Amino acid sequence: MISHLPSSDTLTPGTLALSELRRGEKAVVMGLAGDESLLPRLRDLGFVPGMHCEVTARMWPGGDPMVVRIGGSTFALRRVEAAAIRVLQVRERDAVPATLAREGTSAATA
Amino acid sequence: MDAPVASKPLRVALVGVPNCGKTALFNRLTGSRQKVANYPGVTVERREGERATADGRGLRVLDLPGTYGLTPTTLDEAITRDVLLGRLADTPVPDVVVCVVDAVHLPIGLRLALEVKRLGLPMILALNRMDMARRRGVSIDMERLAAELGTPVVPTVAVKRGGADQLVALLERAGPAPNRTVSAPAWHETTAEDAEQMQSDLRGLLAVAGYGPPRENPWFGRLDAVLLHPVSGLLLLALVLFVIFQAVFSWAAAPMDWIDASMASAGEWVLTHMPEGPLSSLLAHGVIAGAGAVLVFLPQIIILFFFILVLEDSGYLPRAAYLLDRLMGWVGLSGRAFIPLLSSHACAIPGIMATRTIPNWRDRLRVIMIAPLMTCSARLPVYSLLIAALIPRQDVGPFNLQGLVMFGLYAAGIVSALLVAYVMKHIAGSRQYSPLMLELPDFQWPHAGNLLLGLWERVKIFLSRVGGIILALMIVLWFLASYPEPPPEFTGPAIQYSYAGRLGALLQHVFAPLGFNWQISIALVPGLAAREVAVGALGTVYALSAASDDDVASKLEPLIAAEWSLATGCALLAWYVFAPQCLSTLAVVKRETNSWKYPLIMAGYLFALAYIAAFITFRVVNTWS
Amino acid sequence: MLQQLLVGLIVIAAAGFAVWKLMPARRRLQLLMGLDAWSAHRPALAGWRQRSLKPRIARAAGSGCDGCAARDPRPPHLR
Repeated sequence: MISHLPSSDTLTPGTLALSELRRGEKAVVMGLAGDESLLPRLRDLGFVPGMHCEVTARMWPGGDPMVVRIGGSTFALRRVEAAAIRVLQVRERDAVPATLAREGTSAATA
Repeated sequence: MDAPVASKPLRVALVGVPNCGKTALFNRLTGSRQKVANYPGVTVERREGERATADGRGLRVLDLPGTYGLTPTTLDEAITRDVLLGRLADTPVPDVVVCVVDAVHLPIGLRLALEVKRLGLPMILALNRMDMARRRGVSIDMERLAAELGTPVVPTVAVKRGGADQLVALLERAGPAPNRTVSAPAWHETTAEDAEQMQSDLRGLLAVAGYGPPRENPWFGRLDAVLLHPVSGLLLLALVLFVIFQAVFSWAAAPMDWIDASMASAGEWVLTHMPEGPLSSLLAHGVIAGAGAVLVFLPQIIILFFFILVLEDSGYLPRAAYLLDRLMGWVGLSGRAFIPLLSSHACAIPGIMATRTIPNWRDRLRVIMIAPLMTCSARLPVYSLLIAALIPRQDVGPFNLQGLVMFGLYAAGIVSALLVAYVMKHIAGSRQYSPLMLELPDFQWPHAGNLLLGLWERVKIFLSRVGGIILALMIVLWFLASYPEPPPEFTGPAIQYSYAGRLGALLQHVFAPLGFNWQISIALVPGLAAREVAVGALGTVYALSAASDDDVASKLEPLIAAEWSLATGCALLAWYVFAPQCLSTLAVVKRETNSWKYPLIMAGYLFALAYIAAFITFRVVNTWS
Repeated sequence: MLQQLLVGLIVIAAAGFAVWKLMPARRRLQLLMGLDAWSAHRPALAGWRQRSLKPRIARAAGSGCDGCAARDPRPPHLR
């Protein structure tokens, strides 16, 4: 569930905002970028680099708010809050790096 | 100065993220020896309890509000931080901090524990719900975790008897309470570097403990897929609310009739078996007709609270808050407002207190201001009585007309609250963003024991209210409505000669445009203390106005049906949707907002709305019927 | 005659109770403190003072909802 990725600059090309993910899509958190007032609480909730997360629900229209599973807990986030979380999408069929494969994803079912 | 070692109890503080079972652990530790007070100057509840220990020293346990981190976003969380830092005047820094962590959701709890550890206070990690964790395939190597973390780690199962024994044993060995006061920890707000450091520490700890993600119950996922879906979710929410609503009225009907009949026969018995005189009148017309009229509604209260407790315990409510967040955003409210507003349907007081979880002060204030518009359980007696008396028992399509009117009243409360919120947003809306970031806890079956305990608490509160303030006011009203007795030449009902009658006649000038008769005008006065008192008051007033004593304890409903016009009844209903007739609520608002300004504004705007609504309703129904 | 006396007492007691309950909390607390100070000088009342008065003062200094709210108003998931 936690992989040892370098804590790098957050706007690495290739990262998305969490708010852009669709329902059922999984990703790895790369960092936080956005409204300063939101960041400390997002960190407290576990949205830190290396954590795996999955979008389990999106409200219509626009995915505001959305429901994200991370670290075994589930949170409802507004679009603007999710937009502050930069992630790298993880697709099932992609070759998954060994470190990621060992821990599995945060919402693995038995 | 040598204080005997066994004299000072060890001061323990429980911290943890919300939903970790901290309060269940607190209950397990302290049993019934708890005391609930307030932190000075603020309206956050301070829960402290005691536990005897084998060595006689004892523990004093403080249950701190749940928080996700030491950088607070709400008032509750600020209290937790301030207590740990010793910033609160009469709450000293705890001797030991017990970090309660839900073993199933270890990362988030451990993150807080790391932050607390930075304070340097003696700390113990309590891994709660270890049984649940094992069942979900989570294994935690406690010894290695303790070694790596540098603090003792004990398992606890708060819901089982003896589940806190290991923790208590460890606390007992914690050494004598220091004679000196512990100095306040030095602390600075978590910087980004601190956060990174803690993050890598956390990774290390989780790896050492061998923590893996819990096995998900596939049903939870399937349930959430339906419950959180924009369409099915909202439909199901509406269905749930509708079912509750229906249940409250149809299930309660039979028991209510039974209580009503018992009251009536009790009144008859008093009047026929006791010698005529003030005492029998007091008992039959004051006590039985008055307080008894309110007692009838006990079954409805029980059913309403049953559903609310089940919803609370099940973990469904934050999901409802998620579903409604967008809609509520249109009127300037956050989904977080849903829970206080739902609680307000039971009673506005816990609803108003629940607004402490709303981070933004202006948002919180707006929710407090509209909470009394939710149809609280005290309005039920008034609504039920008037609907039963005045609305015909017909069917409109598949629905019952009486039920529809009741539903309409509930809807009126909600709609007017949303409108008022909308207006407030434009007059005094805040520019500051109010975050959602709401945790959706795992589903759980409501615990039957807790449920029964909660219901019993409610029943006790209701009965003590009826037997206390309501009974007292009814007795006083009986007195004012019976004396002075009219001289023999007086032709009208005796009550009109009495103090109450004269007051009613005076008030009638104010209320005549609304179609209220003098009986209603009298009843509204004690009704200021509590809404359901008006029903009791009407009971007493009409009992005393009975043409002769042979009309023993006539039931109130047929009397109203016969004497009031539809327009009057509807106007009174409209009045009750808005009128702030509950001094206790105003008192709590004053407490929560720390000023008289807001309760006065609230009372003012609600009375104004009540008057206008009743006026319009009266005129409209009058011309149309 | 006896009836009237009894009724009168009941009414006075009820009125006193109602006033007590509807009093602003601070006034009530002041009254209790005054009572505490007064009874401190009367050893005969010491037992009553310990048993009833002191706990009542401790409670009154707290959240004092007029018999309506549960002790912890926060829904369980926020505790």
